[in-house]
Amino acid sequence: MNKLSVVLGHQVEQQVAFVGPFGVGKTTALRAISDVPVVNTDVDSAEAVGHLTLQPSGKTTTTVGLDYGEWRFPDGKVVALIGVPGQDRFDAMWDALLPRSSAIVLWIYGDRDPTRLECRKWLQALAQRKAVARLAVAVTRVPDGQEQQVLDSVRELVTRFHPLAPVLSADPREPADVLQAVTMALVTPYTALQA
Amino acid sequence: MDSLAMGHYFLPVLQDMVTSLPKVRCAVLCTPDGFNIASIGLDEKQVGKMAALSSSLMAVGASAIDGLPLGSTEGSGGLNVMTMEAGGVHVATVRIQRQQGADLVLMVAAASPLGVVLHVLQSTRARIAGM
Repeated sequence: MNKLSVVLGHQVEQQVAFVGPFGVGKTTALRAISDVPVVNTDVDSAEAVGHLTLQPSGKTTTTVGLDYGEWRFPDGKVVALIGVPGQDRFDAMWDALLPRSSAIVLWIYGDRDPTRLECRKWLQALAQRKAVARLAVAVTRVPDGQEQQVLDSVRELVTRFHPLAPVLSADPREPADVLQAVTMALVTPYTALQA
Repeated sequence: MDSLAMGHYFLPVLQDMVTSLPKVRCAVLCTPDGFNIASIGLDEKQVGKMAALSSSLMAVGASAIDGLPLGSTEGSGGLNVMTMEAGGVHVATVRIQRQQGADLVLMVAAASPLGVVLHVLQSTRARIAGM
């Protein structure tokens, strides 16, 4: 038998799931900080091509399975990063992946009217699947000059589900922003998500 | 037992499986929620990913099986084995219910004929089930 390498046990201590609507930047955020090559289950997205009015971002791929990455803290601890598909019809993946996670970052768009509707939908989906969670909400594309207003509006909704969840403005392309969202999610005290 | 202790505990069985399977590429024993217990043939950077993927494959496969109209006796008991093939390498994954302890997921990849891979996988599964 050839010498095949052996690896025992896992160094991963915690897992953070990135959730949120289609196209918001979960896969992008994961790739921005992962220390290992990110698993790619992105496929060409019919939704982006067929519904240009829904996705002005020009995004052309979508996650159908999961994204997987890892980030190593300065003290050596490893956190696994899981991106779930944003589209509703993949909710079987949410059922499989969310219960494993120590903490969740909910990414939502800051620049559209249905912000509150999307946010509520996701908060309800989380509450149904995971009664106890650490949650941080990362709001993307917040228009200049409206940060206070947008974040306060989101915060008001989020606290009804999760009284302790921090809400922050974040760009999924910026590693520093993504890391801040991850660490905030991990340090937020556990609380039951009120359905 | 923590994952490292479990790794040591199950490694001999995994090594037996790998020794008895010609042209084996790798094997992973992990938890159903995707954490590595012992792997052979993968380096450290690949292991976390493969454990997560193996468990997700089984979870998604089980949902697919449950969703199919397989008939009352066919398909009963849910997903048994998940198999894939790429360039002549067969990858087979099973979920193992243990008599004393939590379920595990076992994946093996080998360029042997599928029947051989499945036979070795199932006998390894039986051993692990009793441990």
